[in-house]
Amino acid sequence: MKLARNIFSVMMGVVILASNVYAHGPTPQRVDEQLVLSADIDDVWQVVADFSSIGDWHPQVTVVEMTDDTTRVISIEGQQGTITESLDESDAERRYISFRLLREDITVIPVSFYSIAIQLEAVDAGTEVTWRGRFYRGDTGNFPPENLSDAAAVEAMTAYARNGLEGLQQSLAK
Amino acid sequence: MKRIRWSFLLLAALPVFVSAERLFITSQTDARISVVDSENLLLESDYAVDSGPVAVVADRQRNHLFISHPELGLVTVRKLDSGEKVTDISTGGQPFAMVLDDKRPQLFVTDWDRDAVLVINAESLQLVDILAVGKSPAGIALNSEGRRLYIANREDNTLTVLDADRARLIATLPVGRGPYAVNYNTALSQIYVSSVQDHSLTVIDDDQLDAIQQFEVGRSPYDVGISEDGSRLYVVSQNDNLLLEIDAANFEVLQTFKTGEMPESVWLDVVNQRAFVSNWFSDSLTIFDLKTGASLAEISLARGPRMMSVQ
Repeated sequence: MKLARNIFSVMMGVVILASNVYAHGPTPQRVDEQLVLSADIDDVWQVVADFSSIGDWHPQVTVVEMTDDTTRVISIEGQQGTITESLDESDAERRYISFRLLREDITVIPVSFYSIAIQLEAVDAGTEVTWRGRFYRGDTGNFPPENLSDAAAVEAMTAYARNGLEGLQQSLAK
Repeated sequence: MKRIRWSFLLLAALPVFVSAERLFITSQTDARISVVDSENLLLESDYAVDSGPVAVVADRQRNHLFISHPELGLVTVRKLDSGEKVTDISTGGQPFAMVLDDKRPQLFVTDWDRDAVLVINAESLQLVDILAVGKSPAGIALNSEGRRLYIANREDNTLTVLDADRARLIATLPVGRGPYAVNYNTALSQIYVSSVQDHSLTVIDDDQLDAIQQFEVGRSPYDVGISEDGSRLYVVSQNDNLLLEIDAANFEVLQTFKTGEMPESVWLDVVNQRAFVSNWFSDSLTIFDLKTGASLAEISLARGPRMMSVQ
């Protein structure tokens, strides 16, 4: 009986075609940005590894509220709502930190999900910081409006990465 | 002109019969299918398909290759040997993962958008049924002997068990958070479900339809492969860039293989004891020797490789 009812609701779904912001049917998009900072890798790592301090160095992040050791609720400059990021891994040996979007707000960043990894590497000029991520557009239905499209997501996530890298540079130059 | 084409076809057809198996891999971003000679570890060919291909299933018996395109609401069908388009099956929704029945001519496709499993007749190539499952179904597996289908429902943290022959719901079981892939171990009658949000693998007894165990298996576990004898599990850990070899008896990690970045899917070559892993971020395929643990080759692929199927 339950199945019959579910089939009915599926049929209704065909007609309604409601977009589902949680779905991941569309093509995942990527960001891959690098910047060489004229700073020692240990100093860069100290800044990057402190999950609660992103507001101190990322120019777009205005408020950070830690709800536990691995969860941060952040406000983005010029936006009303908040998004929540969750720490996945922080590996001091590899100088690698990764985190993901735990609760999205597509009015803040037009992305339904992302995972980001920041990797440090010592180079002659200082430290190369690589910011990489995989993400899905804000509206994961098959007919997204322009502001929630793949292009909008790529633009926002690239800016988040670029601004982050440049913010790190400025913060370490102080 | 005609003569040249014929001789080309003859040459092109030869390796198909000589080599053991051909592996088909989707590249979602670039909309291509790569064909890899799994014996000699070489890229055999690479051709353009409709946009956003995710899953691919080879139907050797009917010389067909099924490809799902979630963003087009389409499953396309091509000739397995030549890659030539046979037809489009307009499904609507977002067709995602697929599994082909080896006993009856049916292809099962999860529809992420409509919370359903689509049934396509593999002979008539027609959409014949839409079965309700949980929210945002991702992975799907078939227990061919037991005639059951298992569907991982990404957004309601459940596994749906369906009758593979009739539209009948057998069970809905709780699993980890964000279940993605599912596979069935014939030797042990066990179902494995990987969940990307709580990094877990749920082990379910197929007779009892009850979870035996749930444990963490690395960051964001994706695909789950099973050795031919059922004694080893191979779990892709997307955020660790690893393939984990796990003992199916006690769930201890026996061995880890360093993959490319953000690995997605695994296919096991049981004859040569090799594992093939597609790396989404690195745009490559890594091949490992399961006995020695060595990485044998890394083959470059078109951008965004996702799922694989073998001929």
